[in-house]
Amino acid sequence: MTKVLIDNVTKIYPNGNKAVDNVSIDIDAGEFVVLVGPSGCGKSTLLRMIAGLEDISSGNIFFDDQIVNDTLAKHRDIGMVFQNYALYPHLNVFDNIAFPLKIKNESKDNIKHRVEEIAELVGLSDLLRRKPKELSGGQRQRVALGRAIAKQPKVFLFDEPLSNLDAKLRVQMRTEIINLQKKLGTTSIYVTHDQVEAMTMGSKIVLMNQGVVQQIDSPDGIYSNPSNIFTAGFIGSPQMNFFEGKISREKGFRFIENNSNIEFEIENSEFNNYLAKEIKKIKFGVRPEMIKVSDSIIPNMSYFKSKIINIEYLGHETLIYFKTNTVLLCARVTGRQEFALDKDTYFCFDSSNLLAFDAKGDRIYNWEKE
Amino acid sequence: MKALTKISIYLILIFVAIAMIFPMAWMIILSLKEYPESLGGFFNIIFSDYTIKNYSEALVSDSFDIYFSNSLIVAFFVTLGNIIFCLMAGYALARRNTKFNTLIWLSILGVIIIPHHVVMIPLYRLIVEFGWINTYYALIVPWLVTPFGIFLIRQYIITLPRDIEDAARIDGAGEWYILFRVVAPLCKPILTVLAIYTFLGNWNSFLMPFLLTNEIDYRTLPVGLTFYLGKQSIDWGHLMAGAGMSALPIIILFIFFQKKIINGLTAGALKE
Repeated sequence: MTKVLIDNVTKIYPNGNKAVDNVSIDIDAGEFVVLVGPSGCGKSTLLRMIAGLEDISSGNIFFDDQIVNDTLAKHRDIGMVFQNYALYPHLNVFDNIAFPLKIKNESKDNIKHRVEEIAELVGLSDLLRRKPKELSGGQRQRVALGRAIAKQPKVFLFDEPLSNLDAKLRVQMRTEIINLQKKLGTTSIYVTHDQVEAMTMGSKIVLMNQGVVQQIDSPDGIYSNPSNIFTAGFIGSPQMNFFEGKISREKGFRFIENNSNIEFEIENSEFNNYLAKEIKKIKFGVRPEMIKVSDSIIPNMSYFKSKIINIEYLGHETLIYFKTNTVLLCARVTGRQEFALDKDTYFCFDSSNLLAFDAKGDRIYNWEKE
Repeated sequence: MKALTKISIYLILIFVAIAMIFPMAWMIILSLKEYPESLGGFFNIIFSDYTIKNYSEALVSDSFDIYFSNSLIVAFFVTLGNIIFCLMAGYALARRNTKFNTLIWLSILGVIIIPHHVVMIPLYRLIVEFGWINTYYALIVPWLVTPFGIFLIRQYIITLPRDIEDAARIDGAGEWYILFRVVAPLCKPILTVLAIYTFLGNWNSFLMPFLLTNEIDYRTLPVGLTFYLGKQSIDWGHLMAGAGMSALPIIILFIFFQKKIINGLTAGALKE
């Protein structure tokens, strides 16, 4: 098992575009790390740099203690699965999986044995003689997986491997990839733009935006303890609600949203210590599931009054949309619940569940120390 | 109205088909006549006796076998050369990013634009300098790689997904291995088209082989056939038998590969 260290890696294209900006990630041997972020955030470029398919402008990439910056892709001993499968269309399943082994000049018996073993592992034993065009999307991706496993690489790289599959198959393949990785114990780096994949697959998530790492954390850490407003907004669906405004100290501590009639009392003692010092421009975030929707005020909770403008019943949960003058917000309640549209409704929450961000979007953590 | 349009379309198509087929049919008819030039008149020619004498004579005498095998050798090696070298150049231009790429590409396009006849004399002088007159080198080497072939293949490779080559790179393949074991099979449709065009062009090529050879041993079929064109008379029977036999390989080639030719011409036009 191999440890991968990405040390201050930057990628600048000849046109001056900085795709990856000073990224450092420490990946333990056998770990499953997910690189997640919106399109164009540099996650695929970073993966291609790890693979050796893209030059590094500055910084170092280590496999164990060895710098691999100038090592050709073919000598890095990696296996990679591509979004569009990238199978060899002129070869059948057997030859596709055998391709890396043939290049390694393994003996025919060895190749046959190994391909059959892998086919068994990824569930392709009956399809070995078929060409890629005769396979379904899921089967093709299994072939790609098999090919990546074939040469027993030090590191697995996955570049959005499930994006081309339909929703049901994606869930199934997700589980299969996780199980396979656990069985083989190979260090894996998985790129996706899908936060559900990131949350369910990775033991560590690296969230990127505009070439910069926003946060590196466990799925739980990244969800419940986001380090900035981008992370807070990117992870979670529906996304976190944000209020932007100021703190008024009249009648206790009250938050007043910009250009809006929304205001609520803040009763978090940590907040109060911090806020006592000065009133700042501030953004608050609260997850939809933290908001309780009620016809009346719930005691000991912060609240504000608004009107419901839309309700989405999803079976296991109900999403309730309401609006301030500036933004559309969402509350999430479990099961099916009846609410009236266009009627004054109270949206209540515990102010200890509020996350605060400064004007730049960075999280304000330790209130009392500010 | 609709029926009328249909009828007129059919009439046009029938006319075009006859215009296409007639020369071929006429060639075959003339080749099956003894001294057709002495028969006079369309119907006289059609209804006189048929014989395969011209064919047997052309095959036995007249060095037809030499011309035929020369044509085959030259067309084969030129085609093979084009497949290999145009593939290499096309791949390099499509995938390697050097600062000279645009310059090289433009100069290749430039060569396509320059008329063939402009390079005829310099090429002839060059071949004379090399001492290659009356050799296979003269007939093969200058055509081993053509700018049109490079153009065709480069444009095709650009449309192929790079990921397949990257996958091969990660699987441990070197650049030559990728070119000939991964890219070449993917280029099969366009390579087939290139092969057919090159073979056809070479098989029918007259002017340069005519200029570069003056010995029977190195003449190709089109050059050889001109010997039936005398100063005073034309030996139509033998000429047509020779032309018929020289057209045969091309017709066979077309029958077997017509689907590939049409596929190749529309390649990339539709999303697969």
